[in-house]
Amino acid sequence: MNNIDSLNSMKRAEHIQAELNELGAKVLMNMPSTMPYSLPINYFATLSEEISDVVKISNLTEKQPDWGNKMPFEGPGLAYFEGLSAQIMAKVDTEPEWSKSNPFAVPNGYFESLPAAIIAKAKTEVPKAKKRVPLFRTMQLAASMALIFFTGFVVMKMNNVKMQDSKFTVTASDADIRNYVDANLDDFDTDLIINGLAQTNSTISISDAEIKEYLDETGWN
Amino acid sequence: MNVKNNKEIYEAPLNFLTFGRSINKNGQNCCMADWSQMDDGSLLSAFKIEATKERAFSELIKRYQERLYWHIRRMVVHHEDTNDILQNVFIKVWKNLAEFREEANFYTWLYRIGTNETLTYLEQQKRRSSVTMSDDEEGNGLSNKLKAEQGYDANKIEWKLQQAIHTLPEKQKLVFNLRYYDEMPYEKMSEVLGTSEGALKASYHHAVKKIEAFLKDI
Repeated sequence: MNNIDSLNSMKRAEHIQAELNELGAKVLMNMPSTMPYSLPINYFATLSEEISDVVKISNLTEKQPDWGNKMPFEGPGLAYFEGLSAQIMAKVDTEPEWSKSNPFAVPNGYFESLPAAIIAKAKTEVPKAKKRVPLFRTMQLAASMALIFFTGFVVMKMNNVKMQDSKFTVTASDADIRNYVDANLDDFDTDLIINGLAQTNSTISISDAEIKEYLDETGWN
Repeated sequence: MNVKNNKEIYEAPLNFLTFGRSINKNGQNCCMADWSQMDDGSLLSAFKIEATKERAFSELIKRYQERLYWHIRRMVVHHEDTNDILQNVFIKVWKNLAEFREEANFYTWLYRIGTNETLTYLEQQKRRSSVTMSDDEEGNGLSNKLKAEQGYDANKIEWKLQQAIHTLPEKQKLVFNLRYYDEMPYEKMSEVLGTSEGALKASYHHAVKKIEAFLKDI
């Protein structure tokens, strides 16, 4: 057995060393790049011939050999074959008949007409038009959501944070606000929504992060 | 060397060993075709011609046998097992090379077949050993194989490294070997293992950390 391969003598590439360095892998960086395994002498020198031979053999075996027609074992004698058909028939008669036919019914001529029907359908099928959502409806929904978020945010600020601008004097809990919204707020009351949005713009600017924080804290998200 | 006049070389009808005048960069007739200098694409073209099929295949084996051998051996440890797998890989290549798309990278394709064959072999070994061995014994299987290797020396750092590598899960071991020993770019590795480059980098980093910890502990 030979104790070295040609790859062993190769020096590790700089980028691999640099990567190990980045990872703080000092031990691996200082490892020899040799493999400790042994392998037979001249193994690689003869390998391609060896594999080519195996390939040739596998090609040959793929071609069916002439097996001949002589059987290597002795038969049971004539008496066995004489009684065999009767034995088999007796057994067949006692076996239940397992029909291979399909138990499911298909309309007459179904398969004959199927290809033509599919092609005809494919040709005449008009692509479905996209369902249009009215723009006003979308705006209403968006505005409703914005108002709800705004109201909740104001309440949170009043409950948890001492606001510098003390315009707001209302104190209400989250539950109070939820109850109020449920009882009084109509998602489709456009005037209320517009007023709410106008207030939002005029008094406080709310960042996306603050809204998200609020939603996370109050469990509305 | 990318042999330009492939047609002249490959279509010579009778004895492919004695024909083969190629044309050098200056367009002059120069030398007998040097198979070892041909690029993979030229060899794959030669493989498709009956007269040059075996010669081209033999050259492809020679070109990749060592890299593939070590790729497999690092995973299965024993030479005999490696040899069996390696031969199976090349036989599969022989049978499927005609359908190989040349635009894809032959080397990547070869590594992928090698990796699949190796993982299949290890899976079979696991299934067999699970009948007769307990889980602990099974987990120590590769470690025991290492100890049975000729020249094994528990005090030598390179054997310790092999012990450390064999504590890794199989896929992580593959990634580590391909990067650390074969120095394969993540992009190629991604093609071989069918995993994203990001996942491979993360896997390699984990493997490095585990190996470092193992080596520091002993």
